[in-house]
Amino acid sequence: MMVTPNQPALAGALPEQPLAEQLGDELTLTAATLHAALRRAIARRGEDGANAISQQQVQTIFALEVALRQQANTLYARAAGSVLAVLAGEQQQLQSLLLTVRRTMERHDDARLWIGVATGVLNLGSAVLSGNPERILTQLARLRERLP
Amino acid sequence: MRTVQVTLLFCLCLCLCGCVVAPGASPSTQQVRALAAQDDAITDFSALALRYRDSYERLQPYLDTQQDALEKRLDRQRRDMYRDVAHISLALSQYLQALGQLARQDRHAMTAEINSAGVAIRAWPDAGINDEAVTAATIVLRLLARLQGEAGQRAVLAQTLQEGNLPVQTLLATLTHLLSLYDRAGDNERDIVLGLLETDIAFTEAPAQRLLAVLAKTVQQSKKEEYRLYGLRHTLTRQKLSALARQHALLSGMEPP
Repeated sequence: MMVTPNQPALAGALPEQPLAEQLGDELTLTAATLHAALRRAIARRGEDGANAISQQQVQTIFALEVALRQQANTLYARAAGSVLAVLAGEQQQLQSLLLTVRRTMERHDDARLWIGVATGVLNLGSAVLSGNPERILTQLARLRERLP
Repeated sequence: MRTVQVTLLFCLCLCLCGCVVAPGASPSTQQVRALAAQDDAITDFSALALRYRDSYERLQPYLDTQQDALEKRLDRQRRDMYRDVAHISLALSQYLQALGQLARQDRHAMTAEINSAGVAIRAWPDAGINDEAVTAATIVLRLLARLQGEAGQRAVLAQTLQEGNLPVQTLLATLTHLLSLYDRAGDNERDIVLGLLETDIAFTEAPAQRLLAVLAKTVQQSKKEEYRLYGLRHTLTRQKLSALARQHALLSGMEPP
């Protein structure tokens, strides 16, 4: 079948501005959850003794938080300035997944788990920003594996 | 006889007045001037748009190399976008200023016409009109002209408001949407700045770091206050934009948003 040059490569992948905005909100919320957990760990340092969170761990986790917030702001800028090319059908899936991520992070206070999950969310965010549906799907699958 | 003539003239004028007075639905010039004065919503929005554009300058000292590179990219995007946003704000503010001017101008005073009408009446070949009658007639003419002028002015204003309502509502909705995005981006900027201060301050317990801790806490306090005040400005500006949109719709006789 001939494909005319004007035909969009993905018929279902119409640019959706609200999606960028909603994902931005989700990333912001994830960052806030991460920060709350970090704050709890810092406050518990006295009680945790040898297992207390180290400054290096705090810096690593905070760097993840900053990355999430920067990515959220990139998405807000995208929403403000242009449109985001992503599979429209993925929207709901992403939403529910990000919700699960946040809930998971609220339940578990294990630093290693946060790092893994936050990295997964971050990779998902950059896949979304790249607008490459295949990368998004791969990152979604990887993030699912990380979730307990 | 003269009294009868003058009375007839009055009656004629009053009849004419009845014909030209605009329907009560059109907004008064005072209402339109009040609407135009609400353009401070746009001024406030522009100040916040400018703050959003300059986010990088505030964040930069708190970022590491990698974060800085990403933020620089974002900075360019924000600067590019700002130009379009500035155009929208300018268009809205110019429209409101024009509306205010339209409502202020004594566009239909017709003083010259009325004075020459007075001269014409005086020179009426059929005598019997004294100065008193001329004065009365001129006053009535002036009243008529003023009413006609006011009606004309109000009709122009009503039409302008009606024609402007759709684009104005669209642009104001766009600004409100942008403001909400700026607000959320601003919150992330705040949380990066305050978060770094918070996590670093937590590890400045060593006696040698006491001065550093004190200085960091001072910066933390002033930054907290700065972001709190800008949060309030965002809320206030959102309310002002919404009031402006509502008032414009009401005066144009349309359903408020």
